[in-house]
Amino acid sequence: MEILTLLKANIRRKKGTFISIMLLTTIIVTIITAVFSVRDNYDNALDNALEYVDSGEINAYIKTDTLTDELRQSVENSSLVEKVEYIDTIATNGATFGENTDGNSYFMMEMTDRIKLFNSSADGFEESVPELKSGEIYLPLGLKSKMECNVGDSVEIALIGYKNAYFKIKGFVQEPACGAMLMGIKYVFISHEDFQKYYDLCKPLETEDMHCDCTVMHIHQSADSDLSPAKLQRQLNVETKLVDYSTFTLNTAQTLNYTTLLPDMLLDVVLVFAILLFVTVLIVMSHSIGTEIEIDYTTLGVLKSQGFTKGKIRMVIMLQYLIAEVIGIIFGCFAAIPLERLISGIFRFVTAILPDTGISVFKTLLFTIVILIVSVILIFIKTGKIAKISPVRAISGGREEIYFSSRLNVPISKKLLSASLSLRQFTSAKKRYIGAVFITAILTFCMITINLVGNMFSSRNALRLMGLTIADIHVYLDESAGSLDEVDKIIKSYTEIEQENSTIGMYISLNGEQLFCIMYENPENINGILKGREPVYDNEILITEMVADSLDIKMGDEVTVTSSEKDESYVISGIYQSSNDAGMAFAMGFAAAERLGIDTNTSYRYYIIEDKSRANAIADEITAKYGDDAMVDVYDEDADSEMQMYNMIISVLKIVIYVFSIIFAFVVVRMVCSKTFIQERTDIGIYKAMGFTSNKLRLGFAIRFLIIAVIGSVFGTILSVLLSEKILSQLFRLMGMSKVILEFTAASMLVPIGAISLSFFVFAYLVSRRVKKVAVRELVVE
Amino acid sequence: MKNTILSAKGLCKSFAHNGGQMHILSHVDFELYEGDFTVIMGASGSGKSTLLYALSGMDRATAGQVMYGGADLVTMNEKGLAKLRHTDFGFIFQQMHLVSNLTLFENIAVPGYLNKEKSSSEVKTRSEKLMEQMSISHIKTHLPSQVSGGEQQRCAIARAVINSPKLLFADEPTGALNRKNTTEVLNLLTELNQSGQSILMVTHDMKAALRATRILYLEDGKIIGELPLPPYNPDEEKSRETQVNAWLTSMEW
Repeated sequence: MEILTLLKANIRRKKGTFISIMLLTTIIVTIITAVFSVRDNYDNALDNALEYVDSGEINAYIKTDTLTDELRQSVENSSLVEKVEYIDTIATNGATFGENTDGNSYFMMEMTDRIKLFNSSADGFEESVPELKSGEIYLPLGLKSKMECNVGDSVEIALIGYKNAYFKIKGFVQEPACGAMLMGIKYVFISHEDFQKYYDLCKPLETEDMHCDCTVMHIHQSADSDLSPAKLQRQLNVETKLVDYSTFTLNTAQTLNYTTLLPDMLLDVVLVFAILLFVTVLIVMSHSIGTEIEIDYTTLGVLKSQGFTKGKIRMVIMLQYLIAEVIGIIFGCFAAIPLERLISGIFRFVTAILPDTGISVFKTLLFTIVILIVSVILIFIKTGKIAKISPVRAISGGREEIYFSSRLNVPISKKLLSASLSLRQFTSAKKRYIGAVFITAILTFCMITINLVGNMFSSRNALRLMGLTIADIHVYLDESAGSLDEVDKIIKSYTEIEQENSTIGMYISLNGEQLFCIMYENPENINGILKGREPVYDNEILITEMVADSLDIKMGDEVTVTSSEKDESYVISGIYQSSNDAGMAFAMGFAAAERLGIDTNTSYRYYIIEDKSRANAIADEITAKYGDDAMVDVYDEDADSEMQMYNMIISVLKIVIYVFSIIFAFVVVRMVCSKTFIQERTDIGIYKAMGFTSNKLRLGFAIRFLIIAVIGSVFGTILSVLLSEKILSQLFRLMGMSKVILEFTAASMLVPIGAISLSFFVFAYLVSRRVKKVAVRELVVE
Repeated sequence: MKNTILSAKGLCKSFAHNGGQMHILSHVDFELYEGDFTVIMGASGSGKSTLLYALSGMDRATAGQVMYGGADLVTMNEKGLAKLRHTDFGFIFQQMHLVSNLTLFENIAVPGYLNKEKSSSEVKTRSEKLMEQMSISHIKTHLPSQVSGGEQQRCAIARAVINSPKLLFADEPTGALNRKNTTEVLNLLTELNQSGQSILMVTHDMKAALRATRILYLEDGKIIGELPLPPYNPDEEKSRETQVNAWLTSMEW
């Protein structure tokens, strides 16, 4: 009963602290619950979607000619396989949506009854999926944002032999296998009539190099097999060589990985932010308990003299904080519901999946238990000094001095009176503000880091250094119309070519593992090399760190590359980074590819030019000269919808991190300021008696917190310089970027420093309005 | 004829207490003369400190007027009062109330820095001089917690006079000091007064009251008696003590 009475009194008296801890906990639980829930909801929705389309554990894409009866038999008869379905498709060379062209692979297939049609706002499904008529097409939702297209728009699909197929978008469907925005392959659904029409048109145009007749094999795992999808794929290849024969294969684990790649990576950034916020809450609590014991020294002594044991006092303080946290946890769970919907909504067009809704109860519960356990340990440690309080010393006012002499003291100056007094307050009670400095450092670090992520996605230079090729002009030229060297001459008549390259991408086997291989005409121009050098000789390849880890190979090792049943040995000349297939890729030069019997004649070349402003004029001239035989794509940053999508998502995350950081700053300033105010009440009275106005004193308070914010921000910036690259490299590894290149611009650092410093200054000024209520009369001892 | 430096008319001060009003000062009329060392005495709870703070503008009276330099301190805004505190008034508290993270020198200089009419070097020079006068030059870089109570109070007096105030208010300045330090502090106040400083002091210590040139007696929030005295002379302390004692007895002290 006595504990309850004391607890109620404490909560009533320290309701500011109580509310602050509750609010901070609410913020953290909101973020973490939302992140857990978004992930689970997408994972569950994807599992359900894959179950609905029932496409098996492995999808193998194979040229129909290669799919011999022997291969069919060997796969169907494997003990690992339950059943195999064969879906006829027409392979194409990409699509054009208005002014946007997508060079990725589109597989046209007949509409099935296993697709779900999104409603107009893409937040639910239509009850039925209308049959397609001739000239109509269903597209996966991932294309809606990527290609900025809508229902009713026209789409032009590039068939082989420079023929085109024209459709009107009937709707967007949930296609879970490869419908996500980041996946380079897309299934598009057309009517039976159109399928036959285009099949009949394309089939006769097939050559050695151009195929349209492809089959997608849906391979269902046997119930007796408990292999993981990746192991199943590997084992099946050992038994049947299916993977080697296929153009590419995709298992459900890869689908899950690629579909949720971007959300996972960005949510990891938010998760790290939330964990850092939790650290700040621990710092706030630690500071708060320490100050409270200092302020309540006499009260605690009196309680001890009345028979309260250390354990009971400790229990009261512990309950006081834990109750605030528990309430914060409950509020956080509710607040996570709208945040989860907001974040899920942002990623819906990236994943092309309609996520489940709801909160991940189990994970949230587990996390809240961790919060409470860590808090209990912290409070237990911090309240240890209660044991040292002697009732006699406490009652006789024997508490320790709150100020200390400091070597950092600077003289008080008349010109900068408020600033020098503020600095003195800070230097003479550093311990009191260390927590706030740490918190500022963490918040600034988070804000700078998210800015750096934003910079990274908007800097072509940084992206190039990370292995991405962002060319100014892409040219596809029909061999019969001329040579790409003629195109070079046209470009050079306008501006210097900084870099040019032709590439071919295909899945081939490296030490038995099917991986995406990019072959370069000029391997010396490969971007993103981390170790070693370019594969300039015909027996060299480059691999990514992910491939090195996955296959346990390293630079200098000899590996076997297999294509069309031809094996060749290669030496790993270096490690590079590539976002192709989330880093599971390798690269070689054309000379190296030719050793495998790969035809490197290509009709494609990309150019990076010196004077970017001439790109459109160059494109016009090439189009004028070659007409329909050439396809020219000029990179337009403003029209790059994929990049715009990334930037939009990062902007939302930036807002989330900035807003929460500023709310945190407010709560922290409020708490520290309130405690400081109690501790310095007498000093405030003295200063008022000297002739300081309330306004001047409030300004002093604000300057003191500005000093804290500036010092903390400097630490945060140093932390960012030291750690941001390492942390982001770990997070972006998911995407294949094992070493991110960050550009520390003045704005990326000064904006967070300014925002935090200004917030601290303004909040401290607002919170210190209570200075007005301090009367000099309080100094009177009656 | 002495010049009035500060006057109060119908001064009242009440506090809310147990749902009712407790009247501490009741229609006090009072005049303070230039150059005087006025002491207010009275029993505990008579309202001495309340009167001092109401007269100095540190606390606002419930009713009445406190006129200084043609302005009423009761209705003066905070900015005006703050200016008075670092230009015309000086304060000495019973508990010294030095800022604990400022050195003794800084405690004295800071209110000087608030005065826009004085340069930084003038303030520093005057602070040094006052410290010498108060015999605390040797501990100028010490923090308040590192010096004795007497030294703290001498520092507080120096701080109170750094801006050469027209009026010095002292609230039981010897209340927290031992006998030796009390004498030192009283000597300093007497010296200041004899050099022209007007002082209004509240005390219940008769030894301190002996330094006054005028003693007022407060009872139940009203001034009920006044004793004018000649300037203090240590050689006449015995006879002065007898006189004051007799007067206080007549006031039923």
